[in-house]
Amino acid sequence: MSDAYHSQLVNDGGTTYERFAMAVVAGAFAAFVLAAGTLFGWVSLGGHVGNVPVANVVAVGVLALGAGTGTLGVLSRWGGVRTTPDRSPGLGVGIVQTGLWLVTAGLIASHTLGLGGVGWLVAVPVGVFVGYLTIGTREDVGATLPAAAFICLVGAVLVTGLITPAWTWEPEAFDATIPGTIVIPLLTMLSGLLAGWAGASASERFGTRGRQNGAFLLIALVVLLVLSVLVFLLVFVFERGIAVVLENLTVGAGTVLLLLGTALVLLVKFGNVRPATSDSTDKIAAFVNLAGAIVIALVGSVLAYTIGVNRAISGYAVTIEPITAIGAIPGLVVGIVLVGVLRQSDATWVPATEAGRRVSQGLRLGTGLLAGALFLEVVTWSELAVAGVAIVPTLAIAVGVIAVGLLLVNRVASLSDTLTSPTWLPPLSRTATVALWAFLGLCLHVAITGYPVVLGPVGILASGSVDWPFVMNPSQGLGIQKGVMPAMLGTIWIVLGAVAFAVPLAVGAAVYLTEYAEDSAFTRAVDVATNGLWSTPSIVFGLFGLAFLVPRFGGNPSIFAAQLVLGFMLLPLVLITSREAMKSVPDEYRDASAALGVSKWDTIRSVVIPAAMPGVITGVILGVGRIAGETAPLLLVLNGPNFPNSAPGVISGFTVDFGLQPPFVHVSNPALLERASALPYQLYAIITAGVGAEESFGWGTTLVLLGVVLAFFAMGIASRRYFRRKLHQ
Amino acid sequence: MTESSMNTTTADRTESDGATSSTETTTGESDERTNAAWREYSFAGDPVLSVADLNVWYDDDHALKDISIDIPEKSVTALIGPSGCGKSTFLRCLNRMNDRIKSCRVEGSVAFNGQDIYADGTNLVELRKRIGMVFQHPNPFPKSIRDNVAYAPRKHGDLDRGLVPRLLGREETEKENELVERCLRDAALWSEVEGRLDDNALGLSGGQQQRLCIARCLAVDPEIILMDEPASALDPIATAKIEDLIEDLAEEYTVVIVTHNMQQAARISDQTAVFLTGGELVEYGDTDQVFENPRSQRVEDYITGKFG
Ligand SMILES: Nc1ncnc2c1ncn2[C@@H]1O[C@H](COP(=O)(O)OP(=O)(O)OP(=O)(O)O)[C@@H](O)[C@H]1O
Ligand SMILES: [Mg+2]
Repeated sequence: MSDAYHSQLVNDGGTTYERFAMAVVAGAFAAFVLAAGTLFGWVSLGGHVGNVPVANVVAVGVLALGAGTGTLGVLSRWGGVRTTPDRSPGLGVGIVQTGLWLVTAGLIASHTLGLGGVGWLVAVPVGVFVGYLTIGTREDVGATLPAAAFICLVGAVLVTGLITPAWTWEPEAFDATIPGTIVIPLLTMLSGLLAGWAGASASERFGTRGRQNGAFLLIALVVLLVLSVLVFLLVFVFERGIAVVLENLTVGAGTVLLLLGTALVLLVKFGNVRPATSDSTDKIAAFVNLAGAIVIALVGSVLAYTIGVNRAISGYAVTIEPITAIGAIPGLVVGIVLVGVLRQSDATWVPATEAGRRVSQGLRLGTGLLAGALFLEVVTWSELAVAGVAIVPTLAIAVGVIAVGLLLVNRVASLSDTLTSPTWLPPLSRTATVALWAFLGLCLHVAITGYPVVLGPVGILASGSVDWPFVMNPSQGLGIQKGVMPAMLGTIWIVLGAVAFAVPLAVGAAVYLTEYAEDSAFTRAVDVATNGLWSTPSIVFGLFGLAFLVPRFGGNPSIFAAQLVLGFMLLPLVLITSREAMKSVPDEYRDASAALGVSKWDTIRSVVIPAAMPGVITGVILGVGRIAGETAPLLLVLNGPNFPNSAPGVISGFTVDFGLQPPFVHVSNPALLERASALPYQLYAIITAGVGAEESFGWGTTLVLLGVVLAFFAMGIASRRYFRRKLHQ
Repeated sequence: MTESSMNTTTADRTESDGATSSTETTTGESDERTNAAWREYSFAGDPVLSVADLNVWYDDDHALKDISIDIPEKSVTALIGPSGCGKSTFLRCLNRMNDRIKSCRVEGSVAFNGQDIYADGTNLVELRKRIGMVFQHPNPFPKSIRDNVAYAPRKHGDLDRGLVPRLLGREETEKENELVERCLRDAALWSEVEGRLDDNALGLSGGQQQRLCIARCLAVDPEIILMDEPASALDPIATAKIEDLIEDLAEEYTVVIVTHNMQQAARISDQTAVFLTGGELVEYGDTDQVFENPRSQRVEDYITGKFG
């Protein structure tokens, strides 16, 4: 008695029976994965393992699985293994078995035995009989034996070669040819599901816990299938596009090291899970992280070696040059990411002593001056120099050196036991942030002026650290140079414009509908209309843009018209999600704010919108995914050359004139009113051109498009995370 | 301050008086045990709040019946009564928070410093600045502790953050630090949150959140503070601190507090109003008198625990 009690509370490692059940589950899992791999084309049924054809291995495996499943039931019922089955496996299992056997018997009778439609009549009693047996027996028998019989049948059919990869089935009912290469994996998958479910419930000795275990396994397998479809799609595009995209890519080793270093920092910052204390999925994540860190370290040491022996390495169309200096643009990107990371750990530093206050002021003065100088450079878009000495680099290097010096002092002081760090010393996070800002300033300076800042081997280069022909160049005629730069910039500008146009409007409308308008027929009508607008086909928007917008803005298809049209498409989704997000902000917040004598508008601005922000961003993320890949309306309202030889000069196209008449400032941007190209538009052109040799170009464009969308997606996720943290942490 | 923002017209007064006088007779008949004399309480000086013939309905549910009560300045008034008798409803009438409930209809008048707050053209934002409220359920904003306390003063322009500090983003002026510390100290929360003012307020315990709400209310520096069971989620020590705070506040502010704790009401309040089921004000008077020598039998039963 006490022993039974004990075994229920404590999992004592499992009996042989449980281990056997787990083995069946593992086999089922393997069969499922193998079958999925066959469907996706990763495993070929026609191949060989050693000398044995894969098809035969699968056949024997399925047969073994069936035998194993049957054994589980027999052992539980008659083998003296102590289990806790219910009296019946339940109606659900019965119905599944009825259906399964009805179809099986029907197919055999009508096709194999050639009885035609009559065969199905024969099959009905078989199905009902199996279902009745299933329900009528004890759970351990009902849940295993019918399934085992089915799996064994499949195994037998495969082993005897009744169904081979070369076999085809042409049902009379509909016009299709179903080859054995599809039927075999599907049957294997079904067998895997059945055996896995039975084995999982046997491993918990049937009963409630057993059924729960079985359900978990089924769900896990289905989720796995869905995920692998997604991964399959990505890998498929990646495989075909990557060679074109990376062609002739040349990178400086210093830049790559910088990027790898950032990746390592992010990995350590966000991925440090202790394998010892975490549970299953976290444990896997921990090991994946560890593997990532090791890979980064290995690649890093290879790069260091390249720099050391001063030799370029190349492979897979990519060359890494032994340049230690880093590029300005990668430096900017890395700097911004790291500042973001640091902000999260940067506590406010209120210096306690007078000296500390002076240090704090000094640091702030340095960064302030730097920011001012940079601002001037951005405005004039040229270098700021006094008596031949460039101001920004001098300032930035001075501030950076001081900050790094303070950082080192702090580090040394905290490492040794005897030294105590002086009270005026800023905390690590503060000095690191200042140093980063100096670095960012320097990068920005180089990017603006185009003059590199190099001291000996280290420094920041304006160009030459990264040369990526496919992404950085326009196409120059067939076969000479493939490039997507104009189309990529076109897509980026259009999406940014659409977001800038749609988000404020949608959020404003959501605020009005949720906070000001009474819940009425009007608001409900608006809700219905917005939902309808979101489901409107995009070509309708495109036609509207062509007929209405284009004549009003320059008379020809243009970037601006495309921005507006895609903005219109984005509006309803952002409106719907913003409205839902605002509705779900608790009224308590509004009450609290009102009771403090804060006006409604201030409440909306400082309480409701921040709390709704994650929801708004979710809408933008979903919407951007859709509009970035939109082709049909662009055919109508963008309609530029398929392969333009220059990118739209949206930034440099801005002209600002000042006048004495209102509105005093006149801003115009002719570049926005020109035709252009976009990635999906270019992709469509490549594919419909029908030139076989350009197929790889198409895949490359697709991959870049996917990259751009994923980049937008990542930005969205990052900003949503930022707002969530502000709300909850 | 801005008296002109809360103007009232005699026409409104007479209109609302006229509306309630018709219902007076019916409610008077319904309970002959309620004696008008039991609610008489005379004190020196003008009342800061003067409620006359207040009736409140939620749709058809008559939640408060003919409440008339004068609340003296710079004192603590306790509202006690069984659950559901309308104490919170009454409290919400005093700063018109009931306007935010759609189904709620209020008749009668509430005069604040002699001006009817239910008159047309009352500036609700200004009114609620001067009559602050602490809710029955703690409701801090999902912001940092500091931002919660400094929220309203910032909005009212009492704390000018300045352009440069705002650009740098992380600078709090001395004034703000002082205000935050003073309010948190007053609300007996400072020692617990001193080191983590930038943490999110939702990470505090229920009782801490309630004290944060008190601090947030104090930061506005209202003239009247309405508190709806501010100590219901607090341990005895924090409760004692809040009670001390309320007694201190009464030197400068007028406090109206709802409580279910008889001892608490007896300890801290100067006068006590007893509401009983059905939404009537049965007895109002000096706290000592109400607790030691209640004039109504039902109130005596309620106070001694014979009747809920
Ligand atoms: N928002 C509302 N809508 C409809 N009826 C309400 C609403 N708020 C309160 N009521 C009703 O008004 C009556 C008084 O409620 P009130 O919240 O004022 O009671 P209370 O005295 O504060 O009780 P407690 O001590 O439990 O807080 C109750 O009958 C309640 O059902
Ligand atoms: Mg209440």
